[in-house]
Amino acid sequence: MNWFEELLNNRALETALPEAIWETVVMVGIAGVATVVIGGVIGVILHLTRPGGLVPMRTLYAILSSIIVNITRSIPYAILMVALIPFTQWLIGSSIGPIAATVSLTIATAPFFARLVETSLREVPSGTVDAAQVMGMSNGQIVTKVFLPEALPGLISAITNTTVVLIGYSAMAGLIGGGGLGRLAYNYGYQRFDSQVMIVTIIVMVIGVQLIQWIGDKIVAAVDHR
Amino acid sequence: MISVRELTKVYRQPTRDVVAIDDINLDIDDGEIHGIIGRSGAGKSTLVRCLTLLDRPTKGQVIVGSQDLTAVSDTKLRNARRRIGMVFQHANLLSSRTVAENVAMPLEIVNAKKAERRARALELLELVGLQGLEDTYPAQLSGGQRQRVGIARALAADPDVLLCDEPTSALDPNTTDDILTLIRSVADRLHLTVVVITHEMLVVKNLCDSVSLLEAGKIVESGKLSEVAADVNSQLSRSLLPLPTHQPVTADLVIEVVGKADAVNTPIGSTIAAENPVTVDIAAANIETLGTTRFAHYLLGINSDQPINLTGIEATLARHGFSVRVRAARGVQA
Ligand SMILES: Nc1ncnc2c1ncn2[C@@H]1O[C@H](COP(=O)(O)OP(=O)(O)O)[C@@H](O)[C@H]1O
Ligand SMILES: [Mg+2]
Repeated sequence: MNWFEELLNNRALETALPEAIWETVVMVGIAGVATVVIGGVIGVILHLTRPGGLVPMRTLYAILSSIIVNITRSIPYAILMVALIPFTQWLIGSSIGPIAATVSLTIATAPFFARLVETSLREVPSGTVDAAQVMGMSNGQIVTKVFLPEALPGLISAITNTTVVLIGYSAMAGLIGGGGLGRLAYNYGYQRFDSQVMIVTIIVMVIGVQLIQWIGDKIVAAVDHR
Repeated sequence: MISVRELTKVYRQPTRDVVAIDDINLDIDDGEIHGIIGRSGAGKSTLVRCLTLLDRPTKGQVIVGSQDLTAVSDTKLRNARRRIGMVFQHANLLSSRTVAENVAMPLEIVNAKKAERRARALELLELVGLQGLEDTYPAQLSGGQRQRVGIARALAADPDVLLCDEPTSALDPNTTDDILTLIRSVADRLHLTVVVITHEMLVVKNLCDSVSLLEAGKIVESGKLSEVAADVNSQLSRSLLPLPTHQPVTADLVIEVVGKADAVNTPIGSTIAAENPVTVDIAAANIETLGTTRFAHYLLGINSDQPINLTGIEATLARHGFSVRVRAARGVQA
């Protein structure tokens, strides 16, 4: 009981927690939208230009592919975010704060999302594309009327997964000035040994991730007619 | 309506070139239903893909109406394709759309109004016998129903030409009959020129006016169904009018004959024996109607106590409208 009372009276939680949650939401929200747009476009380009695709372009595909492999596999996010500090500084004039953190977050997750998009698009049966072409559809119409709607359940799952990854990365970004829940846990939990803040942070994270997964699954079930 | 000129498709591979379609020439008249039959690997899929320019032919022309599809720009090709409706083996419907939305898809491309698209979809669904299912999703339908949706979709933009790629190969026999009847009736009603690609002779028999036999990328036989079937020496005739299983025939002369129309009523044995000093056994027979024409295909064992005059027998048969193929001739005059 004592511990619980203390918890309710913990000043840090009262003021810092809502602020930290908000910062995390901002980081994940902005980086999420940017990731879906940028990664989505790259994913579609990858699918169209791959050998045997609708508009095969060997060189472009190879270049995009290798950039993606390198960002997602070779460079750990902890290193990428530090390496991107000068770039962030140049791009938005600051390298501190949740907005600045979205730059490295987007660069880290967009390629990951692009791969997921490419994989989802590849599951669209080639026969439906043949049918669309014979109808007289342009390539643009095939993307918007066939590929994206047919792959929608997979794309929603991809967004869900990417958001969860983003939450994880955002906690790391918090350590080098991004703020948010990662910063909160580090400041109070690690530097001040405030285990209450630590535990509450973990609980908030777990609930947040569960909620996103649950919403994602609901949407997939609603749009999946296969 | 459709002319194919010197159509050739070569797939270039690292080790060797595969000539999938080899110098094909083909003419299909307005309102005709033409079957292209061949076994697996003959080049059927390649041919359809070249007819719609889904694959670029290596050489040759595909002329639909008066337009050479191989010579036009991408934009013109897209417009020309709208005059062609295509039915696929697996229907290839979009799972994310309802039946009505699938059918109306070709109309979306030409920016038809939503209400107009819906009205046209309902009309077509009634034509193919699927009224009431407009708001279901393809996953909820049977294979035959899905194929009906595919046919309705192919007709949505009022095409002149209907291309069917193995339209019944994924269906059971009863559903196959229904789908063939449906294709026949819409083709008649809308005066469509139809090309049907298939490996099943049944489809040719029940649906087509004319037929081409595709073998190793070449058309080896082609013609009106009633003409190719009547020629006992054609491969198509043998599979269009198959003989029932029978005992091996031993006789001085073994021949197969095919006659059509009035010839079917000719008493074959007595007719030959009346003009030639021989006895005739009918070893196997098949009397069948293809389209509106009756055909008779006989396997005959002919014996005589003297050397047989084959030329005389052939003359008799020709006079009565039979084509002849000699299977074995031991006791024949030199
Ligand atoms: N994309 C391709 N690349 C290389 N060879 C191919 C390709 N498509 C078909 N072929 C070859 O062309 C020939 C005809 O194939 P296909 O048109 O699929 O025949 P069918 O549909 O009659 O079974 C086959 O020998 C096949 O291996
Ligand atoms: Mg095939």
